[in-house]
Amino acid sequence: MGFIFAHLIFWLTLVLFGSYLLLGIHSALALRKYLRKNSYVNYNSLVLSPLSPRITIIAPAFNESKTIIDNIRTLLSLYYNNFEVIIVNDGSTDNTFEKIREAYELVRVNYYFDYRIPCERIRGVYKSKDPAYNRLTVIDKNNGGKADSLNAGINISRSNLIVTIDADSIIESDSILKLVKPFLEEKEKKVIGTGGVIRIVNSCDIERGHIQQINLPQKFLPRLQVLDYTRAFLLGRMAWSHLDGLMLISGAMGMFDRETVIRAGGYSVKTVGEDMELVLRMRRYMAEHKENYEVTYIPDPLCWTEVPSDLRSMRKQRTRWTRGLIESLWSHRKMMLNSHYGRLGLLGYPYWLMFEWAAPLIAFMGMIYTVYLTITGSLNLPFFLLLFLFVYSFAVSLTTWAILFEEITFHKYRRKRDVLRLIGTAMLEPFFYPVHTYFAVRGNLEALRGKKGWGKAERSGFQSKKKKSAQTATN
Amino acid sequence: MEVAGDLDLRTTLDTMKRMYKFQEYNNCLEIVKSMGKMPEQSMLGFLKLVLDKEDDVQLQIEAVKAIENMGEVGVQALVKVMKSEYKNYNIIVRHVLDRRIY
Repeated sequence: MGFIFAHLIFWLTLVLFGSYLLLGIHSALALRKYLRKNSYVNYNSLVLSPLSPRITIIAPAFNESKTIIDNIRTLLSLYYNNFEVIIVNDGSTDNTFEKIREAYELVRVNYYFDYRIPCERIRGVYKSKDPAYNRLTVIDKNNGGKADSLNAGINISRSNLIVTIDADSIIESDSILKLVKPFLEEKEKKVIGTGGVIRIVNSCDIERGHIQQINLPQKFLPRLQVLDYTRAFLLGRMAWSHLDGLMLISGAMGMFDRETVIRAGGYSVKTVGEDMELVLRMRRYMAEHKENYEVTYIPDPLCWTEVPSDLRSMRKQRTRWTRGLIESLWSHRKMMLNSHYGRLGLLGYPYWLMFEWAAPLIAFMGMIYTVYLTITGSLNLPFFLLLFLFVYSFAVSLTTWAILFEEITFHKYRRKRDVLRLIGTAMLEPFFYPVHTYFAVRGNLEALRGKKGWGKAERSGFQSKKKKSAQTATN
Repeated sequence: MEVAGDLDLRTTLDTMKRMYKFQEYNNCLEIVKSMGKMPEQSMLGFLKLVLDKEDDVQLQIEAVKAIENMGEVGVQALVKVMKSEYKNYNIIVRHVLDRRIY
């Protein structure tokens, strides 16, 4: 039995690493194609053109009073000529709405709309008295969660394209230009969604909602997540987009065809993984209606978000992600190995089921089994050490590969010491894997117990580091 | 249809008006939007019909916008529509005429 289990783990690991290798190769090909294609693009022509498509940026906000004013300011100053910003106050219990109303001189307007996607009651739609903030619309509604808020924003929106973001993220000024490009270029298929790279803003210098200096996170946990995000975005999603098997556009920022979102039913309020669930549902809708479509991904860094810097917050986030993954996979289990859904059904879905959901559980069982063998004195130490060395070397190589991709493409961490620190963190990261597996197991248990909801996220806000230092000095 | 509006091809207006009832939703919307880009008093009756017969919010708003773009004639027509007891067009017209709404 032990022999079988040990070999199962070994071969599973080989298959997993083989798939990572293949994804890495596809990612490299896709990156090279993207960089070549976009090296001479003149984005200014899009900004100057009166024919550029109108876009609505929808940002749900719940108790975001620390950062909301800065974030709205960043959104309103994005480099694009034809867009509006809809902030959805999701029944905040702090003074988020009052702060926005005061800062932007909001008044209630008679806004005619239809509840094309069901959502909680919209108490009012507000516009600014100041024409300088003409692009800003604020919705005040009863609390319903992030998905419900996004649906409310979609109902109010008048544009063909929508961008859904987290209100606490910092958006790169040219992100809209880069996101909209696939929608304009693709002629044979209908582009229904585009995503980009999400970066980590911890320890960066921020002034009035804009990043002044990009720094590598000082704390170990956020640095670990830098590696995680770099691998996920530059190796994983780039490859899946290339293979037409992309299942997830990050909820932090994504652009969608509004009509397709509405026809697919909007965001689901029944899951905490609403971002993944929507993409799956949209893809299913298009496949079932036999429409030629594409979900694309661009490797440009578009958005910066704060990640948990302590274990407790990270646990909450990761267990929520696991629950969201399970809920999404279960809702769309019909796609599993179903050729009707193309590579998504034959490759993407099985991969996520096996290697994103099941692999951490199998790894956890492997760890328990190793402990058991050690206690009973049955551990084949040479085999164990060899396997450990193999897994460790591969993991570090893969992460270094991802760091290399980042350095040769967008090179956001300019200082050599930051790159060296990243590599150093990559060497320590495999020892943190048991914690990841614990989060995955806990997420599964929570899903089995029927746990719902997001929990509370601790935000430190985007106050400038320099201001913080000055305040500390005067206190 | 979108290009016709962008290029101000007013000779296409009658053709688009005839095509309207045979088109799917997206094309109908583009027809009304294009009419808004090429304001013509002769389309007033058609646009009022769109406002009256269509249930879709987007179509109704674009029809009202197209009427508004006709200038003084359009605005007078909308004021009359607002006073209508047949249906409550108040909200739609006030929405479109509100300069604060983008």
